[in-house]
Order: sequence, then structure tokens, then C-alpha cells
Amino acid sequence: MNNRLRVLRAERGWSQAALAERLDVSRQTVNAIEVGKYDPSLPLAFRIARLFGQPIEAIFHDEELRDNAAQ
Amino acid sequence: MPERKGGAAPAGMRRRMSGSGQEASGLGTCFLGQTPRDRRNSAAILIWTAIWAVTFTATLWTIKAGLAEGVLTWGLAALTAVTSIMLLRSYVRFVREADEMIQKLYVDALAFGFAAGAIFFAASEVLAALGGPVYDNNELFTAMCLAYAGKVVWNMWRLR
Repeated sequence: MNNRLRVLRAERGWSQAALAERLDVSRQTVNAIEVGKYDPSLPLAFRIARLFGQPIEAIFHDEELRDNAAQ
Repeated sequence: MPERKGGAAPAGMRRRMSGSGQEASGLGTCFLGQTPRDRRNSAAILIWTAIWAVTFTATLWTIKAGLAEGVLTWGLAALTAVTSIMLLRSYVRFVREADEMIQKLYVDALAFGFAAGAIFFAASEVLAALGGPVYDNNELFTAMCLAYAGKVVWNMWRLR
């Protein structure tokens, strides 16, 4: 699953640690989500969406869904 | 503030948002990438491990040296059991309250350690039957711990 977390964070000038603190998770978790090595739980995805004031689907993209839609 | 849109933030988040600029930068409470809660729980494990190690070693040494008898022996054994339970409790608390990805890494490592122990046990039984070296429970436990610790380090490195 791809996401725009790094872009949204950069737009606000936040470090990974600062974002981690706002989300109440570890910096490693933020990094792993950004590089696509870890998919957050639904509650965390909602917290991220709330923090950036955007719907979940505007931040996280399901590649499989996109490929199916393209076909 | 954009983060205020879309509903109220969780209690922990609200507390941090209302903090100083240093806290908001992530430098104040996110030292070494851990959340303050994880750091506190990790410290509790270290403290209880140290207490348990001292109690266990002292109890064993006292009993083997014949310095304690009767009720005192049982008292020392009970003290070791209590510190063991406190250590176990602190570890369970750490895993249960850990950040969700860290929790996943530790549970994965526990499964790996358990599987490695089971394999080591089965393999050592077969080897012993074939005339190979005989391993005792301490070595089995050591193998499990090493596999667990190695997997934790590997998982952390992979998702650093």
C-alpha cells in the first residue's frame, strides 16, 4: 500500500520524530509507514487522516485496487 | 491548526499538542524513536531484570553454600519467585502497551523464538539418539532466548 505521508509531513515541515509524537507512535513506525514496509492499523490510519485533515483514501492508496480500475 | 480538523485528537495526542515547542519538535519526548510510554516500560523491564538477576544469583549461592536453612531458604525462594513474576509482568505490560509496530515485531520474535526452541528440542533428541551430544534444558532455553533476541534485533534493523 502506497501513501503520501512523507509529502504531507514535509509540507508541514515536521520531522519523523515530531510526527511520531503527534500520533503517539515510535519514529520507526512513521518511517516504516512512509517507506511502505508497514501498513498502519485502522485506528492509526484514522489518527493520521485526522491529523492532516484529509480522508484516509487521500493519504493511503491501494495499488491492487488502482490496477484493477485501470484494467 | 490543520490537525484539529476532523474531530478531537486522542487524549495522549492532545496532551502533547498543548506542550512546549520543544515537545512539538519531537526532541523532548521521542528520544531514540521510542514513545515515552515504551521508554518507561523498557526501563521497568531493565530494572526488574537487574533485581531478578541479583535475587536469583544470591538465592542460589546462599542455598548452595549452605548459608540458609529451613524457613529462610523458602523465603529466599519465594523472593526469587516474586521478582520473576514482576519481571514477567513488566515484559507483558511492555508488549501489550507498545506502539503497534513494535508490538508486532516483538510478537513475531516471540513466535520465532518458540519455534526455534521446538526445533532445537526435536533436533537434539534425534541427534542424541544417533549418539550425538546431549543438550539439557538450560541449553534449550538459551537457544530460545538467542533466537528471540536475534529476531528482535533483525526486525528492528529491517524496519529502522
